Order: sequence, then C-alpha cells, then structure tokens
Amino acid sequence: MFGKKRNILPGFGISLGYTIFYLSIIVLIPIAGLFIKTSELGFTAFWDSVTEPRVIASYKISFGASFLAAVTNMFFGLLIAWVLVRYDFFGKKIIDALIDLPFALPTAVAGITLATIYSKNGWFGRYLEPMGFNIAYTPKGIFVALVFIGLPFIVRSVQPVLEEFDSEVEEASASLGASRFQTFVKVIFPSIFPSLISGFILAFARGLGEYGSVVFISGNMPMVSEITPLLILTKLEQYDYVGATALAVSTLLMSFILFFSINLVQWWAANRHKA
Amino acid sequence: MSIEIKNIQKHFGQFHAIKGLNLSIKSGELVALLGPSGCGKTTLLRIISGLEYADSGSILFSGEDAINKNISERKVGFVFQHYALFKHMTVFENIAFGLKVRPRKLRPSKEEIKEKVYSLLKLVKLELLHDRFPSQLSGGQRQRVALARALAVEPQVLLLDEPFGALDAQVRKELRRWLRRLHDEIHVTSVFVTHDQEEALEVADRVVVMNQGQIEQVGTPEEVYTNPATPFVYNFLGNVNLFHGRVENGKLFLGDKEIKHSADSKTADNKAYIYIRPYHFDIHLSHQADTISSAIIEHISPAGSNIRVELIDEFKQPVLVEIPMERYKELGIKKSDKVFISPRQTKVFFDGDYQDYSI
Amino acid sequence: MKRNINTNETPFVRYTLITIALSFIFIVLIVPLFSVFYYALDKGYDTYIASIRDEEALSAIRLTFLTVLFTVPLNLIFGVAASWVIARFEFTGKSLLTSLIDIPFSVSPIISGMIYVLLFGAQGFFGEFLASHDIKIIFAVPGIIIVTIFVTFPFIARELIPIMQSIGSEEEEAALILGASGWQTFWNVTLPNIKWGIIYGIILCNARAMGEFGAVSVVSGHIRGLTNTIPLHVEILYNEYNYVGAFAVASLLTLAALATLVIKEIVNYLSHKAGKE
Repeated sequence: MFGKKRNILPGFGISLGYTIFYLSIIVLIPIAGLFIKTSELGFTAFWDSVTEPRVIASYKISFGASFLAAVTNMFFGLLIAWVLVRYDFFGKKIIDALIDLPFALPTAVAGITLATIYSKNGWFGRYLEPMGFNIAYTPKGIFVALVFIGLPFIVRSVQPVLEEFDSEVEEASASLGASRFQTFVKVIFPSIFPSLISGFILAFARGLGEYGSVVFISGNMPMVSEITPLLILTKLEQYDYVGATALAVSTLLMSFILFFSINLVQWWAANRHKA
Repeated sequence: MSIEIKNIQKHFGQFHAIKGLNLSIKSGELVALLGPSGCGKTTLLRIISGLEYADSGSILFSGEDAINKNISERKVGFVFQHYALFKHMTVFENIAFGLKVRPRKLRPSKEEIKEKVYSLLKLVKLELLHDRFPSQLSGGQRQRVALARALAVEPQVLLLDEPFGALDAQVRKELRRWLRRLHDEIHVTSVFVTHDQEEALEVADRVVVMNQGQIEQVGTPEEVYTNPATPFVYNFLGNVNLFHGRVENGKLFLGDKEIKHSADSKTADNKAYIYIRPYHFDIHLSHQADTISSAIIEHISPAGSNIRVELIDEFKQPVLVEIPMERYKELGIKKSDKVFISPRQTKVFFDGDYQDYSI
Repeated sequence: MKRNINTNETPFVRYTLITIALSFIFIVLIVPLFSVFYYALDKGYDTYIASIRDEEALSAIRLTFLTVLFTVPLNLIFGVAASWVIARFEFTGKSLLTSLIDIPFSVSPIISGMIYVLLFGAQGFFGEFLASHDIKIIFAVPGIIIVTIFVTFPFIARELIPIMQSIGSEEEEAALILGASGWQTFWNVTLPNIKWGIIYGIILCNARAMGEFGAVSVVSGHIRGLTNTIPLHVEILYNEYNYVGAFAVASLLTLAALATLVIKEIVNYLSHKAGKE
C-alpha cells in the first residue's frame, strides 16, 4: 500500500470526532429530517405544492427582486470597490468599515428602519411618493431592502482581487498605447470578472432566503409582494406542513445549485488560461 | 550516538520518494545529505527525526530501534529551514521551552533553566538579545536561536533542514564556518540537508550524495569531488564538460579520434560518456597528439587566479576550459581564435555501466 | 502585492466616481444607520431610556444574553476543533466536511428554524418522545438556543481555518520535537498564534447570535416576556406602532453592530502589527 498516513500532530481523533458529532447533531440530522419528511409526501403532492399559484407568485417576487438587487449591486459594488482600493479621500477608512454594516446589523433592525424611511412620511418616502415611486409595502420595497443586504457581498468579493492586481500589467498596457478606459475594459475587468460573478451569486442566494430585513417593508400581500420565506412561515403557522416542507426543499435545492455554481465559476476562472 | 538507517522505503501517494535506502552514521560525525530538489534528502531527515513515518525499514539509534518512538521520545534536535521560532515568545523563552515542558519530575529548577539558557546564549553569541522577539532579529540571528533552542534539551542527534537556505550569501558563508566550529566543540552527531555543494564540501565530515530517492555516493568531501562514483555525482559536483563518444569494435571514439580506455577490448558496442573538468584541459595553438577537438573561442573572462575560456568545439558543442593566468599570457589567445584542446584527465563511463574506464 | 494609490485617471473622472460611490453609500447605508437613532430619540431621551427599561424589553435582553452565553462557547470549541482537524490533517471527506460548515450560509433563516420544528415540534420526529418526558424545545428557550447555534456556528470556524492554514504547522512540530505533549503544544504554541482570530470570531458570532431574527421567529412562539429575544421584541413593538420603543431597543442592537465593526478594525490593525516579520 502506498503512502500510509500516520499523523505526527496529535489530536486528530478527538478533534475529528467532536467536529463530526457537532455537525451531525446540529446540521445533518435536522436537514436529513427535512428531506425525509418531504419524501413522505410523494412526488405528486410535492409537485402540486410547489406549483400552486401563490407559491409561483412568491418565486417570481423573490427571484425577481433578488436578481435585480444583485445586478444593481454589481454595478455600484464594483464602483465602490474601485474607489476604495484606488483612490484616497477623507473618511475612507470609516466608509470601508461601514460596508460591513449590513453583515453586522440584525435583519430586524434593518427591516424596520428601511420600512420607516421609505414609507409615506419617511425621509425618502415623502419625496418619492409624490413622484409616483411607492416603495414601502410594494415589491419595490423588497428590491431596496435586498440592495442594502447584498452590497457587502459584492464589494468584499471584488476588493481583495483588485488589491492584488498587478500594477505592472496596467503600466504595460498604458505603455502600449491603451487609453485608461481601454485598459480597464480589456485588462483589468476580465481579471476581476470571476470575483464579480461570485459576489453576484452570493448576494442573489442571500436575497432569495432573506426574511427579517424584507418582511417589514414588503407589505406581504399574497401574489403581489409576498416573498417565499414568508410564505413558508405562513404555511408552518397554518400547520400546512406538506406545503411548507415542499417549498423549503425546493428553495434549498435552488440554493445548493447556486452555491455549487460559485465553485464552478471559481474553477473556470482558475483554469481558463491554462494550456 | 550512531545512526543506522536500514532499507527505508517511502511513498507519497504514487510518488516513490525513497527507494530502499541504507546508511550508517558514526557517533559524533557531521554528515551532509546533498542533492537536487526532490531527491528525498529532506524526507529522509524528517523520517530520522520522527516528523514523517517510513513505509518500511528501520532506524536504529545506537543499536536501539527508534521507529516506533514518537517524536518527543527520540531525543532529537531539529532546526527548520525557516526557523519555526515561537513568534510570541522572547529569545530566552524560546530556548527555555524544551526544558519548561518536561514533566514535573524531570524538569530542572528555574535557576537551572536560567543557567542553561544563558550558557547557550553565550555559545551562540546572542547574550544581549535574550529579551527580544524573533521579529526583531535578523535571519542569521534567528537561525542561531533555533540552534540554541534545539541544543537546550541536549539531544543525541542534531538534524538541520537546509539551515542556511533562507539567508543571503555572505551570512550563509559565516554561519557555515561557525557551525563547523560549533560541531568541533560539541561533537553531537549531526546530519544536515543542503542542495549547495560548496556548503556540503566545506562543512561536512562525510557527504552523502542523493538522487531520486537513492544514494549515489558516500564519502569524504575529497573523495566525492575527486573520485565521483557515478555520472550524476560528477555532474552535480563542480563544473564538468560532457562529451558523447561511442565504443566500436572494442575501441573508444570521440568523433573520429580514438581515445585509450581501460575496459576489455571485447566490450560490446555502446554509447560512452566522457567527463572532463575545465581545469583538466590544456589549450594549444596547433594540433597535438592527444588533442580531441579543435575549437573556436567564444568568450574569455577572469575567474579568481585563472582564466575561463568558453569555446565551441568541432561538434558545435560548448566547452568550458580553465587555464592558469601564466598559460593564458603564454598563448596570447583572443576571441574568435581557433585553438586545440587536449585533456590531461578524463572519466569515462559506458552507457548503463558505472565503471570508470579512464586511463 | 499591495496596490499603490493610483492617479492614472483624470481628476474629473476620479471625483465623479468618488461622488457617485459616496452618494450611493450615503443613501443605502448611512441614512438608515442615522435614522435608527433619530427615531429612537424622537420623543426625547427619557422616553428612550424608559423603553429600554421596560419589563418586557429587559426580559428580552436577558433571553438574548442567555442565548449568547450558551451559543458562543459551544461554537468556540467547535471552531477550534474543526480548524485543527481541517488545517492540520489530510483525510478523505475533508472537503465535504468543509462545505458542510458553510451550510447555514446558504440556508434561509426561516428554513433553519423550520428543520428544528420538524424534529422537535409537536408533530415532529421526536415530538411524542419529548411530550411524554415533558421536555419543551420548540416554543421554549432551548429551541431558541439550538436554532441560534445552527445559524452562527460557522463564523468562528471560518475565521480560524484560513489563519491556521497560513501559519503552518512548523512551530507545532518544533514544540513536539522539543518534548512538549499535545496539550502543551496547543496551549503554548497554537493558541497564542490564533488569538486574534478567536477574538474576532467570538465578536462576529456574538453579533449574529444577538441579532438572529428569522430562524428564532419560527421556533419561539412569540410568548411575550418568556420567549422573545431582542429582535423579536423589536418586531412586536413596531407592529404595535410603538415606533419609539421599537427603535430604542433596535438602537441597542445597532450599537452592538457598530461596536463589532470597530473591534474588527482594531483586531485587524493589531494582528497586522503582530504579524510583521
């Protein structure tokens, strides 16, 4: 047998044992429970649950809002990352630290704050409403909340890659006669594109499952502004376990697919220039 | 303490890193494991230390089997290439560490530890830096602390993994000499790994030349340098020129010139490798009896008290020759001249055969 | 390679980009942050304090602290164990293990709460067993704690794993060769090297544990005075149109969030200073 592994460093057994034990109790068994419960439904019941009109409407709302928010964050997130890495200005360090605010701030706080600001009498609402932009209690509110939540994902994905970017390559491009814009489009952007996509997927996936920051501003009207997580909770409260589990499993599957695709993107990025 | 290494095999997955290696190291010797990257020298060192386990084979320390003793029991000192000093402890605490972690019964008193650490600091000449942190020291200083730390527990064997690899050339030379002098004082059996042949030849009592998981040759520095046992050793140690000849009808030819050799005249037809050191060549302005090739001079440059002459021979191959300054002045040669090269000494190997057939 | 501040674009382009970026950040981040405190103090300082001192608010604060008291130490032990095993050893299934740790990040908080209801709820797998032994998990404090553990356990592990990987195991090998036992090596060599990671991981885990809303919503039962954490209490106050009360309590969480950000900067600064070799 080749390469028999015996470990020099101590503690392998105990640390692996405890890790697996903890993970089993906290993660594996509960998630297995979910899938077992779902499998008890049978495929027809499952399919009927996830194709109810109200459910499909919630998918559209969650997906639509998350997608648009993530796209918006792609542009502004890239811009913010660029500005933070490349330029200097008063208060930069504070702004840099603040980017993590949506990570650190509890979702309920974000939820009530955004709902209040964008409502009719709120600081933004009182100007937007007369202009015809009803944000609070509409799908637009969901969009706004998800922009808040998703921003750090993109900025923090792109920032390290921008920081590591080899300035000599840029200088080479300039010395060969490329304009600043051309250098950005042809040299810099392709390098940071994978991290941008990773950040996008992270923000998107987070948006699909987001509850606390959205549920106050969204109005929660079925078929109009009801997000999928809320629908799951509603079904639970009504003891519609069938519907809740079916919906939960389908959402989980979509999340797993999204996260798997991040790995694909990273793999592609690492290998695309290999011979 | 002597070290017996018997038939060690080691694989890393599919990679056969060490192939049935045997080696005897005498008590008190300073031995160098020398070879290119990937030859297995560091793996062997780590197996001796207990940081890696061999697939099979045994290691005996003074006759006792060490293979199943774990690291802390082996009484081996190890100096890492990148020092592995404890960054959050002072120099004093680093050196004292091995003594402080001893079980209560074997632990020396605080005063004894202090005495021992200070005597080691004196030995490595770092007394004034006892309360500094590793980040405040230079590379050479850190390496000396690592050495003192390893010596504090009075190991029977001292192992060093490319100890000077991470230092610049000047510091490396100084520390090399310092290590040699230290060993002369302390006489601990020591094994160090290096890819720098100058270092191995300068410092070690004996040199073990390794390649692809096997030992090519073991001997004193003089032995391995002047009597290389295999083409690899010849190539690895010092500059050498290689000429491709062939054996036909029992005779050795380089191009169309015959070269005398010591093998049987009934030797089968074969390829032959002819090694000639640069300073074993002589240059002549006209064809001589023992000339093996004409050559055009490409470049001339000084090399210490000699002159390096780079030429292209009649087989269109580069040749490196070193001649003394006086000979160069005698010849009065310059670039683009056509001259003739004659060897005073050669090493001849036949393909697949490690016998030396030079005359 | 740290990039130098770049001045290749024209000043006009630069200032335009900065302005757009800062405006976006102002609208999306700064105004909401500011408004929490504005609305909390809308009816004056005394009302603010009264809201926080209110009996139900206090019990919510107590429950949140209780949750954190259990969650953080348990997750700390897990984080250390997981990072030791993942950063120092090779074994089959290692990458599977590592991706398992990321699961809470990809699961909606509602689903996170729901899976425990399916296990421990009245109709769940263990429902009958628990009822017959008079153990309440769902709609009681234990459920809140378990759910919070689920949502926050990756934080410490994910902080420590890259740190331990980048430090490398040479110092530990050196300690073992010098005769230290496994525990001596761990206490004297490993822990000091990862202490900043541990501190930051604890801060993050703590912040998230205090603020978890969706998952706790599902399992708590919303029993006022008993099973309401601070975020749930905020929700109740808001839904009763008690805006000042809601924002007052929310401001506590916001202060905690800001403290988290500040501590993160400090830890970053200190660990960079310590790591300079």
